[in-house]
Amino acid sequence: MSANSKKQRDIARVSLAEVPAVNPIEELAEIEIYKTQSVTDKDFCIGLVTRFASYGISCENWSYGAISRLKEATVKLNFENCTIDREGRYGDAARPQSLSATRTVKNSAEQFAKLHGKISLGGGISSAGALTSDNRGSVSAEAGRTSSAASTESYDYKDTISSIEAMPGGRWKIVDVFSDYLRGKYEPNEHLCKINISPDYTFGSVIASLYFYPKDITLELYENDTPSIKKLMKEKPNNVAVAKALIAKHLKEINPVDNNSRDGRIVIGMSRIDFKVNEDGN
Amino acid sequence: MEIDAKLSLVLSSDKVDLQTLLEIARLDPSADLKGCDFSNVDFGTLEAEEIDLSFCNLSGADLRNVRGRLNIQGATCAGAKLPINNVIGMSESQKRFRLKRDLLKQVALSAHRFYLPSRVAKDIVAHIDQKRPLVTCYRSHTEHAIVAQSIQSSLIGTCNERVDDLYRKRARDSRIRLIEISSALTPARLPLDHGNDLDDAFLRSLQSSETRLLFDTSVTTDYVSSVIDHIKRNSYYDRLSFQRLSAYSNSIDSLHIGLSHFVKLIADRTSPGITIFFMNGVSPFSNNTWTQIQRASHNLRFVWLVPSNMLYRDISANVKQNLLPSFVVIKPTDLVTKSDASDFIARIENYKKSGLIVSEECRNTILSHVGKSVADMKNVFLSRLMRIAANVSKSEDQIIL
Repeated sequence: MSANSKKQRDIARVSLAEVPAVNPIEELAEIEIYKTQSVTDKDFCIGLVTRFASYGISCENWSYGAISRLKEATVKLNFENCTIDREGRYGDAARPQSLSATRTVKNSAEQFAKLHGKISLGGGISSAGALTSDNRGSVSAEAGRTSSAASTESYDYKDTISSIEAMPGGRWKIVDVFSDYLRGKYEPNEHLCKINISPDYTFGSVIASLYFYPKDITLELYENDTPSIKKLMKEKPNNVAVAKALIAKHLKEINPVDNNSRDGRIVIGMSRIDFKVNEDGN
Repeated sequence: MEIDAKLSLVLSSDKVDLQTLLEIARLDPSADLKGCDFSNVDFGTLEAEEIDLSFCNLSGADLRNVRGRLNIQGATCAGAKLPINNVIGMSESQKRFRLKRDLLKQVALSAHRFYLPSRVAKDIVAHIDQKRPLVTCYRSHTEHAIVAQSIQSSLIGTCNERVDDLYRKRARDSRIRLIEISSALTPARLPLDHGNDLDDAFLRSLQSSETRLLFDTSVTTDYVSSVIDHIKRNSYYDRLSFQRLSAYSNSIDSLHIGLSHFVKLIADRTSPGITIFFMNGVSPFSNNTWTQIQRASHNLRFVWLVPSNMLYRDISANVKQNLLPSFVVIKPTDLVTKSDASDFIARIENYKKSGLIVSEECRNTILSHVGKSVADMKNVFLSRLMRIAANVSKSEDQIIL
C-alpha cells in the first residue's frame, strides 16, 4: 500500500464533529473552534475565531449609559482523551536568546557644554547688551577637557507583539496591539494547535472556553452631562471600582455558565469539537 | 433593583466610602469582589467577616484599616498598603519583612519624638507664683504637641496639689482656675511685635461693658479629658476648674477680642483664688495690654507657649522696651545629659521584644552626644536607622542597630 493511500485511510478513521458554540453574552464576545483539513489517525488540528464588542447598560429613560469592554481575555482548551501537541502552537514564538546592542560614544565639546553650561566667554557683556571691546571670547579650556567624559549609549532591539499569545496550560491570551480594549475579530492565521489523540481511546473531545477577569473590564460613560470616566476615576476611584465590580457580578448573573471559580474569572463562551476513531475503518 | 439603577446610584453617589458603596451596589465582600480592579482604592474601615480579594488588582490600594479575614491570594499588590494580621495569601517572609519595616518606622517615630520638655514644665511650675508672664517656646510641630502636653500635665498636677493643700488648711481663697487657650491659627504666623492695632481692639473690649464669650468652650482633647477624669476620681475637683478653649475663628482679631472678654469676665467676678491662663500657640499681648490686665485683676497668671522664631528673632530694643511685657523667658534646653542619653537608649530598647537589638557601637554613638544638641543626636541616630532600613532582609529575624 502506498503512503498516500494509507493517509487516505487514516483520515477516514477519525471523524470530527463541531458542537454548536455556547456564547451567552454575545454582545460582548464569542468563541468558536473548528476542525481543519489536517487530520490523521493520531492527531488533528483545530482553528480558532473570537470576536469582541461591547456590553452596554443604559437606564430606562436613556438619560445615561455605560459601555463595558474587555482589556484582555483568555482562551483555554480542556481535553478529554487527548492532549495538546508540544509543538506547533500558534503564538508560541521562542524568545530571543541574545540581544545585540550598539554602543555609540560621542565626544562633543559643544554638546556637553550646552548641557552643563560650562562654556564661558572671555570678558563680559555691557549693560546695553553689546560686546565690549576686549571681548574676543572663545570656548574655555575647561569645557574642552571635561567634555571627554560625555557619552551616549543606544540599543537597537526589535520585538514583535502578537495579539494572540500562547501561554502554558493550553491557554492563549488575547490582547489588542493597537487599542486599550478588544474589538473585532481575533483569529490565528494558521492552526491554533495540534491535538494528539491518546492511544487506546476511541472518542474524546476538545473544549475551548473563553474567559476574562473582572479586573479586565473597562468602563466608558456616554451622555453629555455625565462626567468622563477619567475624571470620575480621578475624583472617585472607589465609585468606579465598585461600578466595575457590579458589572462583573451582573455578567456572571446573566451567564448560564457556572462561574464559581476560585479566582473570580468569568467564562463567556464555550465551543467544543468531538472526535471519534472508527476501529473498522468506516 | 436593576443593574442600571444600581450603577447610576454608585456612580452618582457623593459618598466614596467603600463600605457604603458596596452596600448600595449590594455586593458581598466575601464573594463578589474576586478578581476585580481595586487599584488606588481606599478601602477605609471596610468591615466584613471575610473579604475575598483574591486575584484582584490592588496596586496602590490602602487596606490598612480593613477589619476581617482578608484573602489576597494571587492579587497584584504593588504599592498596596496591607494590614499585617489576618491576611491569607501573604507569605511568612513577606509578613516578617513588613513587620520589620513597621518596627523601624515605630522606632524612627519614637526617636523623632524624643524631646527634653520636662525641664521646661518644671521651670514653669517653679515660676508660676511670679506675677510676670512666663514665656517658653517650641521648635517644631511635634515638639509643640509634646511640650504643650507636658505643661498641661504639670500645671494640672501643681494646681491639684495646691488645691488639696489649701483645702486642708481651710484657706478662703482656695480656688484655682486653669484655663488653656489655644489658637486655630498657624502659630508660626502670629506676629509678636505687630501688636498695636490688635492691642487697641483688645483694650477696647476689655474696657467695654460687654462680656460676650467668643470661644467654643466645648473643645477638649482626649488627653485633657483623661487627666480631668483622673482628678475627678482622686481630688476635690469642684475646687479646680480646667477649661480648654479654642478660638472659633481663624482671625487673630477675634482671638484677642475673645481673650479680652474672657479676662474681663474672670476679673469682674472678683472671686478668690488665682486663674492661670495657659496660652498655647497664641501670640503674646503688649506691655500696655498687660498693664491693663493687671489693673483689672492681680490674680491672673499667664504662661505663653510660642514658636521659637517668635522668641528668638531679632526684635528691636524699642519694641522690647515699649511693647512687650517683661516676660520671664524659660528657654528649652537642648543639651543632652548622660541621663537623657540613657533615656534615649532605653526608649529604643523598648522594642527589644519585637526583635530590635541596640549594638554597643550604636549605644556609644548615642552616649558620645552627651553635652551636645539633642537634635544632632537624633539626626545621627535616624540616619543610621535609615541606612539599616534600606538593607533590611527578609530572612533574618532580628534587626541590629
